[in-house]
Amino acid sequence: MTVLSLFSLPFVALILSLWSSSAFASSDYHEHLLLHPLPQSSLLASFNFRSNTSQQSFDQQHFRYLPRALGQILQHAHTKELHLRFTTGIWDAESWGSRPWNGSKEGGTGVELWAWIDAPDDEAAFAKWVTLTQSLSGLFCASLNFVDSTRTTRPVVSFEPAGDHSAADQLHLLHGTLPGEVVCTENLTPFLKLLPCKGKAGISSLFDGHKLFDAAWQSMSVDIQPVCSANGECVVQIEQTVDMVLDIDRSKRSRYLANPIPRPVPNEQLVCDTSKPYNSDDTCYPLEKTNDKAWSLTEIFGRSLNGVCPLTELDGSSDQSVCLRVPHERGVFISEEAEEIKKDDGFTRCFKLAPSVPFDLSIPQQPVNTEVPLDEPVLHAERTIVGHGQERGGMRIIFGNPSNTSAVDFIYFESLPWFLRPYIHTLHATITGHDGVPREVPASEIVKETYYRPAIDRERGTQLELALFVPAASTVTLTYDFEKAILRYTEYPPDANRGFNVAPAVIRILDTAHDAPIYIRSTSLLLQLPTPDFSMPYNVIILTSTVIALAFGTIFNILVRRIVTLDEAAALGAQTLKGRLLGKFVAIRDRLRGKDTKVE
Amino acid sequence: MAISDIVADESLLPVLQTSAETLAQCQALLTLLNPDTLPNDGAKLRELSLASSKQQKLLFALLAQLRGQNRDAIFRVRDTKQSTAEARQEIDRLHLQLQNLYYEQKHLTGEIAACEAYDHKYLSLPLIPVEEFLELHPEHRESSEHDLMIARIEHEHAEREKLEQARQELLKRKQGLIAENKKRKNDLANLDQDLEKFIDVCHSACPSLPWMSLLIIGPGAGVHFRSLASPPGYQLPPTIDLSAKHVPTMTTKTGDQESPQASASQLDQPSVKRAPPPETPAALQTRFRVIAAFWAVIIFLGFPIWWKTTSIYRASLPIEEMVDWADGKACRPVFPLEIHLATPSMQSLEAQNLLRTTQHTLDDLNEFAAHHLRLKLTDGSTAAHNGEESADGLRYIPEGTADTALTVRLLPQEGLAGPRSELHAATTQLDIFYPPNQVPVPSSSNSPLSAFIAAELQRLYSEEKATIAYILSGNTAGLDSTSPQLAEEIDRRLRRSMKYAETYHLSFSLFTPGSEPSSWDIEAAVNEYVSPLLQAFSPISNFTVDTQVQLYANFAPTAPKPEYDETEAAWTLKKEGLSAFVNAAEWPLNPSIGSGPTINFILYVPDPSQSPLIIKENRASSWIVPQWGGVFLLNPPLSHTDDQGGLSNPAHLSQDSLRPAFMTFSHQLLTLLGTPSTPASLPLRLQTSTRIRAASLLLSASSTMGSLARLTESLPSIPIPATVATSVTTTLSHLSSSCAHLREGRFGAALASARVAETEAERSFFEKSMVGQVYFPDEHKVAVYLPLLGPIGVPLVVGLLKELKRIAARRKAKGAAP
Repeated sequence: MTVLSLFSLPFVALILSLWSSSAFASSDYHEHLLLHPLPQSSLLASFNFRSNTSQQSFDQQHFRYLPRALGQILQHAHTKELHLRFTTGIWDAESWGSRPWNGSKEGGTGVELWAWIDAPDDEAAFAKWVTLTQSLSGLFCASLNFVDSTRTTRPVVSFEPAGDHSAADQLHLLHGTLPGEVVCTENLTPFLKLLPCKGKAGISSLFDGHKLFDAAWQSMSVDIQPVCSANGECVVQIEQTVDMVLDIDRSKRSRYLANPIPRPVPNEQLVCDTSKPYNSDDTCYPLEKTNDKAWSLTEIFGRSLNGVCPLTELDGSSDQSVCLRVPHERGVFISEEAEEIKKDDGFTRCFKLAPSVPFDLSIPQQPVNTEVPLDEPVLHAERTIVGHGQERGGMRIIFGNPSNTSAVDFIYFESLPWFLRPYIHTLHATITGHDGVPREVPASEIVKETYYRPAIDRERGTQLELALFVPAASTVTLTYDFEKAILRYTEYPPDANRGFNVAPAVIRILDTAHDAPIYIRSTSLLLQLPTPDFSMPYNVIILTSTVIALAFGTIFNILVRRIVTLDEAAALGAQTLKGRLLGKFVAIRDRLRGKDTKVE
Repeated sequence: MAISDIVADESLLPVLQTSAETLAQCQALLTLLNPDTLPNDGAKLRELSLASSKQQKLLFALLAQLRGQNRDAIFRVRDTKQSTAEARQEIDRLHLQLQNLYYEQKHLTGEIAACEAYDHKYLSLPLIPVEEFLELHPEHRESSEHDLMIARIEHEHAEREKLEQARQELLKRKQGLIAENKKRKNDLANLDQDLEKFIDVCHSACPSLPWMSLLIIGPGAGVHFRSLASPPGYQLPPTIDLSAKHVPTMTTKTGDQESPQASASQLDQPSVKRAPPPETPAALQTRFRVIAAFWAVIIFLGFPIWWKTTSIYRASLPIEEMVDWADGKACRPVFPLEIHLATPSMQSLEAQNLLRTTQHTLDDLNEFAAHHLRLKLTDGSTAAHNGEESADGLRYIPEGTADTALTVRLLPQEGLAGPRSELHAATTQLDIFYPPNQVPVPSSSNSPLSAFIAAELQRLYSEEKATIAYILSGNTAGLDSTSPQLAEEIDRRLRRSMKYAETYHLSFSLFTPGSEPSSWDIEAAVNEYVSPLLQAFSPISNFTVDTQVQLYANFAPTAPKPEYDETEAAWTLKKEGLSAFVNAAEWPLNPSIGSGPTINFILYVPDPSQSPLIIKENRASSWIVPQWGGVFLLNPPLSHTDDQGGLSNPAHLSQDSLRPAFMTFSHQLLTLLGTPSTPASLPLRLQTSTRIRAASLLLSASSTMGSLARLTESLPSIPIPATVATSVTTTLSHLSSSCAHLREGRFGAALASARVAETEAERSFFEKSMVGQVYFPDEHKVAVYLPLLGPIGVPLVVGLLKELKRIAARRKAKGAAP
């Protein structure tokens, strides 16, 4: 008995320590950077930070990697899953191929937020949503508090929860966008504060607001979701990503010393295509930018990578926190203490960084024969406002399927502001096939399902979700008409003549081949509304007042005045102040002229 | 008619004759030159021409004569015309003179008629009748009517002058009497003061007062009698009435002299211009009605609509009551503490005697009336029961009875020189051991045992008493026994402690400038060191706890850097630099979401290169940031990690290494919550805390009420919604119930009421809708509506003024006419 207990004691201790180590493993931290040179001398830098916190310590508010401010906001707003996106610029899909993370980590231009909120009913969910947006607005220095009921939608099929939720939660999905929000450094600073290493160590030390927001396209995202393993142990996972496409030439330019003001390139430094027949001193066709430019991390980001964040788990593949996608034949110089690992695919190599030693990476100029293959996007989408005049307009959405073999099924989700009133009965579809001849088809042939929630003035916007498909090697054009509402005087923003932003459309591609859904977002639109002259109310008031005063004065005078003959009026006038003054004036005038006024 | 018939004037006759001659001559010449009879031969022709030239000369002579006569005739006509004109002028002048004379005559007759018909004032003078006058002055019996009238008027004049003189005299007398009255009144007032002094003196001197009250009534009655008995003052009004009649009479007489001139000038005017006829009363009335109608619409329709649409809702608040609370007039908080005396081994008579003597001693020792101790006798079993109950955590508060503050158990113990006391640290029980021979005998009024008990109790509650006195009055001046150190201590503690709230958020943060330590045994540490304390505080406030780990937390660039001190072999921070220690800009120390303040506790682990880190002046490693939280500098043992001899912090902080930090945090929490440092028993300190919180909440809610009252009075333009009024009512009712609970010694209930009162008071004071936003300043509105108000307002106002002027003139005329 005693022996058994003596044996069992270390055994129990061992199990406990194992359990605790697994509990520690449930709160871990990973970070990863992928550098991918793109055509036209661009560079895609894709940062990813991921950390976990056990559900238990999250509930008890013991925060370690999960930021306390964000965690408390989520608990206070009963938010189970949160996705927040800050995006600027345009992804050039024609030259850069498919989007990073298949578009699942990016949002429409401006700020986009969607969350699953646990609430008993819709009203309670919306109240929590308001709390959430206002708190996030303070945390991220963004105008998220302007996501009101007119900008909030409840998509039905466009989004699926990414986390594992318990069945007991009554989840409500709410989605809001701010297409006019300008994303800038004040959003990056709180974003960096959420990271455990705070931009002081690890790949986050590369972030510089000036470079980040100088990019051709950039997207910041925050995703928080519960993740449960098979044995029912749950963690709260926070994933932050920053993706940006930098122009290598532009970033290499020393901004502060040599060239503080951007100037045109001098003639002799222009790189011209001399094979063109019209090439001369004053005519230049720019030579296409090549991928073999020399660059280094320090040149592009303005600072070097400051070691590795010590919180990263140092085991397996997760310690290779920086990866580069260039052909293996290209030479890459790296700092001494780092270790290069080439992957089998022939294009990817990763680097194992030493802790707290600065790391730099430099690629010399070198002609290359192989190109890194780029994924062709599954679908091209384009959305524009057509029509003319201040009252009516139209929307035209063009979907192009580049594949020659398979059709594409997808969900098209649009949330329109209430002052844009679409006429869904005017929804028409045109298919342009291989032959290039446009063919009018009924919309129902293309659109399989429609989820439509019409707008209510000043209360909610239009929500339109269409499940449709594009046949192989075809282009589908959807058009519908809309009417522009006239706003109230006080509803116009200070820059009313700039136009009103219409949120980008979200396209979710239902492709069975991929596990994760593919998302595409169209550009945001600018809608011109009839804008009044803002001094009009005052003019109306003043004009009306004058007319009323004129009418009143006439009537009042007619009623009150006494009617006398002309000489009587003169006699009366002589008695009044005016008459006496006039008489005196006449007398003085006569005396000055020296006239004798005697009657005799 | 022949020409000679027309021209009859003699002077013209020669002219006629000459003209006839000339005519004849012409005819002769014509006959001579007749072509039918003209001769053919030359001689005769020459003869004829000679004759004709002769004839022609004659004709010319005649023509010249005729011209001369014509001229004469014209001259004569002119003369005649001139003389005629002169004569006519003369006639005209004479005619005008005649007309003037006629006019003068007419005017004079008119004047005479006007004078004769003039309505003289003397006719309307209230004179005494002629018979009476004649009786008085028989010498006027024979005089003419004119002389009689003059005599009568002069008589009247003399009479009235006499009366005027009499009036002046009476006035003088009245002035004198008023002066005398005033003097007498002053005398009486002085007498009153003297009397009061006298009564005061007498009050202290002689306790029986009935005759004094008589005396007080006496002088008052005397005053009344005197003011009633001043006859001249009551006879004055008729005199004034009589004399006042003189004045208008005089003025009308002077007015009479002017009136003829005025009428004359009025008569002059029609000769120049014709004035319109006076307006008919109907026209005047119509105009009056029109103007009145317009103004009626403005006043009864326009003005109320304007008032209604621009007025703001102000609910009525009980301002006086609120100000009373703020001034401390509504409630004087008192703190009667009930202390149970358990004497298990004493006779009841002895015990009661002991109780009485101890209570006397206590009352003698007490110098702060609001806080006093009341002893009560219980038997031992209930005392023990009470003790256990309050040790449970103050949850159960029996309704209607006062809380038991302390149970004193008297236990006899052999072999003691004097009594000795022992305070239980975990319960509200004080054990006093005494030698059995010191039990006071019933006859003695004082005993060493009772003095000892009283001194013990006094010592236990001295700090609480000082604190409450400080809160109530703002200083400890009222208490002589309070030492200056204690007063300063209380002042510091009250300044450091957080404002009372229902919920406090405790936020424990681990900050380190490097990457290690990155984890700590926080869950266990909180459960072990903090939770029991929070459990004890739960009747007063609720607490939430959250923790975080923040790496790479650097000092602010402006903060003073730590310096290495050779003698201490440590890095030191200067005391004055501690305020800049917390880098508020970069460290994520944002307050927790939800109502209630956040108390931050920062555990700072310095970088290995700056370890150990201490405060220079006192080698301490922790400090309190008043009303914000606390900081603890933890210097864990460093370990050698790599071959180069680099030092590093441990990656994980165990529960044991957190122990000193969390003990310090517990103390800091107690200080921040305003708990007193004595006595040693925690339940007693919590009870004290309850009373202090109740007192400060009561005062704070009262002063908020006062501020609200002042605010609403000083800003008449802010709206007061109905919710504010209900909040104020709730606050006041809870304030009074809290005050009542305090008076009856139910401190838990008093604290609960005071909490509600404070919440409601804050809600009413910070009501959002009271701070309205002004979108349109008044100037803008006036500027926009001026085109309407100006052209409408000016004719209306001018019309009204004219009409008022006319009405005033007519009234004056009407007043002057009779």
